[in-house]
Amino acid sequence: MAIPFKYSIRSLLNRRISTSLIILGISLVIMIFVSMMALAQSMRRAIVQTGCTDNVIIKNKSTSSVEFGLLPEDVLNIIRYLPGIKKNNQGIPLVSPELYNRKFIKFGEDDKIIWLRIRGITPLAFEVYPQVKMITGRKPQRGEVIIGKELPVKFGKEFLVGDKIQFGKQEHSIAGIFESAGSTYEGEIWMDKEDLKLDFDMKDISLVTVKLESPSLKDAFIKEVNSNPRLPTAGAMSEIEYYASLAETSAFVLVMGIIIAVLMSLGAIFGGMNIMYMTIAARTREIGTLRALGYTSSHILTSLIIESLFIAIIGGTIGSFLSIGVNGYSLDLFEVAFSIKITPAVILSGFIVSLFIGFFGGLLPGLSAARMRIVEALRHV
Amino acid sequence: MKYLTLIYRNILRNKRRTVLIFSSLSFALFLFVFLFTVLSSMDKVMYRSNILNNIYAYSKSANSSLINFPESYNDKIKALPHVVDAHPCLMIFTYFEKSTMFITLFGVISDISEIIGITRIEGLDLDGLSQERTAALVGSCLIDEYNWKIGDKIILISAVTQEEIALTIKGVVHGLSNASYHVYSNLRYLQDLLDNQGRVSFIHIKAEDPSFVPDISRKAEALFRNYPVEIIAITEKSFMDSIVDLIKAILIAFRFIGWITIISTFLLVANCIAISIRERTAEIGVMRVLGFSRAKILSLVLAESIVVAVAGGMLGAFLAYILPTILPITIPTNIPLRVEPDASLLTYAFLISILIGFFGGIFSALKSILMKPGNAIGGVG
Repeated sequence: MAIPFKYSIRSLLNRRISTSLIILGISLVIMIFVSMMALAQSMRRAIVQTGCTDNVIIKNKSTSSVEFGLLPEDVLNIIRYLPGIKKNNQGIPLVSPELYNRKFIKFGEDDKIIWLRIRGITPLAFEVYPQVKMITGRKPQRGEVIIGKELPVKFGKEFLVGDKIQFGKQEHSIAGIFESAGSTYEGEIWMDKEDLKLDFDMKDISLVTVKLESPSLKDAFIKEVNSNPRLPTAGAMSEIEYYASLAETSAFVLVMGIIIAVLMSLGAIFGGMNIMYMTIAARTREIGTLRALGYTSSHILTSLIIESLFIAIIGGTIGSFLSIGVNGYSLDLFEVAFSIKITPAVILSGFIVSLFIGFFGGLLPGLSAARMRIVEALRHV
Repeated sequence: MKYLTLIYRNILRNKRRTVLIFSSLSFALFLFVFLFTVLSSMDKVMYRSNILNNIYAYSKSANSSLINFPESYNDKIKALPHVVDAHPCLMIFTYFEKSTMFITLFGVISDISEIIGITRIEGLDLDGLSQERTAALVGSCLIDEYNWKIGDKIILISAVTQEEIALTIKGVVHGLSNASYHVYSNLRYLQDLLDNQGRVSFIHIKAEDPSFVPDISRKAEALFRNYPVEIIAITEKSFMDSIVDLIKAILIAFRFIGWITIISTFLLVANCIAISIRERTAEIGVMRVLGFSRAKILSLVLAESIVVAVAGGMLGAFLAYILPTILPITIPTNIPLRVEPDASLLTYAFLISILIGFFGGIFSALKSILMKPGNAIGGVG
């Protein structure tokens, strides 16, 4: 028969201060772990889910980013007629030529510098990116812009339809605000491609995004573009692959989060282990008595590990609960505007970490207790 | 001195407990010093002492692919009141054949070491660049990364135009992080090569005093209003603030995590120290009977806890201090931020360790020494 579970609970309640401190330590570790993992995953999700499975990006093949490297606009005359491109109801191929610019502006009374990502589009963009939906206002006409719903995070103020933003050579009126299923487009400004060209004296385009009839045509289409002698400077890749390659900065956040979590966990394990050893030392006669009553070493070990795991579960629950405070918080990090989402998967990983801390924090002290000799334990003063 | 042996023996009396306290503090101070090293590296790079005097003038319609700032503006800007000097600069994003990150190539015609935080140059100096057209000064971080040396011929490729830029390394630049990640070359050579005669990327303006900076910025912008190329003048401080803003959330998180780690470790470790002192109440009673004064006993007990705390804390702090030297860490911001060791953090770590050791032990020690010796020996109270 195993040692009753309520014995473990009573033992924990007998030393409230020590138990509370271990729970506090573990809850802080889990709170930080869950928050950092959610931050990294939310950022990565925002970057990667910017891409659609049936979209292909065509850009200058010599550069890794569409920010640099241009394509002559006449490539459209070739791309439009390539096989596999989806057509809209009017029979027009869904080919979206775009201009992309990253620019800083001065804003506010203190001339704060804000980095803007501006995309010049044509009306076809809304068919190529069906996830982009207007929340308020309407799509832009010449001389107007629309802004993603996360853009106000950069400015620290809300924008309304009709407000104006100054960049380039003139002020631009906001015609509408859009959302885009949590992608990085939500941190951008979209405007007519020709307006952007005029504003920044640009002649060529940055990229062409193509929607295919089916994701299964992707590989063949990419091969066709990359080997086409009439497109010598163009390089194609799937939109998902392109945005995944930009997710390097989220990898940095993820790695830092893991390093911090590991170090804090080790600190919590050592601290918890110390307290467990001390409480076992204080319960030596008690443990000797249990052995004398017939409980085996494995019963003692199991009971102590259960105590440790119980503390860890409470700490993990409190920590996960505390981390929910950052859920939904909007951030602009490394120029990616997104909202933090605490997912069940992240909370589950937090629980696993807390169980890990609990198990290893209790294992060595438990083994030490289990190996005590009965007579020596009973004689302990 | 005679009590040192006593302190040493008492520390080693319970080796396991001492090792666990030592380890907890090592991990905690390692994490604390590491996180604050990242913060301090950022401060050093972003906010070196002379940036308050610096202004950068850019074309309002500038973008990553276009260099259109007239160099002729330089003389007019230099003639503005309270302007000490003005330097035209070309900035080109390039890549080396194997590199995954862009290398920023600056074309200069005069000494800009103060502008960009260069502290030392081996080989040819910046003034010498004007004499040797194809000469290049390369940042020390790039030298290490690509195993280059003085005398090597390198070819950098413009990310925008794909033109090859042939350079010969004539010097190595040491300085604050971003200065060590760039390449500096002859402005005229680059202008000729890229067919950009008479045009630059920006003009650096040095003001007499920070108080004149806002006025100079306004006057510089007004000077070229309604010109074909209008300018935007930004202070270096506001530019650096904007870079910091991009990772503000991470910086706040690092500070928070650093202090939370110290607080939670303090609570755990202090509890362990307190328990270990309480366990020695009888021993303390015996020492009182033998003639040790309260003050002597208090100092012995506190010395033990402080020694363990400082030893563990300083080990962790020292490992965090040397880590950036062994394992180069770069944060992927707009300006590559290399984490550099900060010796002043070792002082903070030392003070924190002492405080943990002191406050961990003081209350239990006071309680024990204030007991009557008889009660202490008998375990009463």
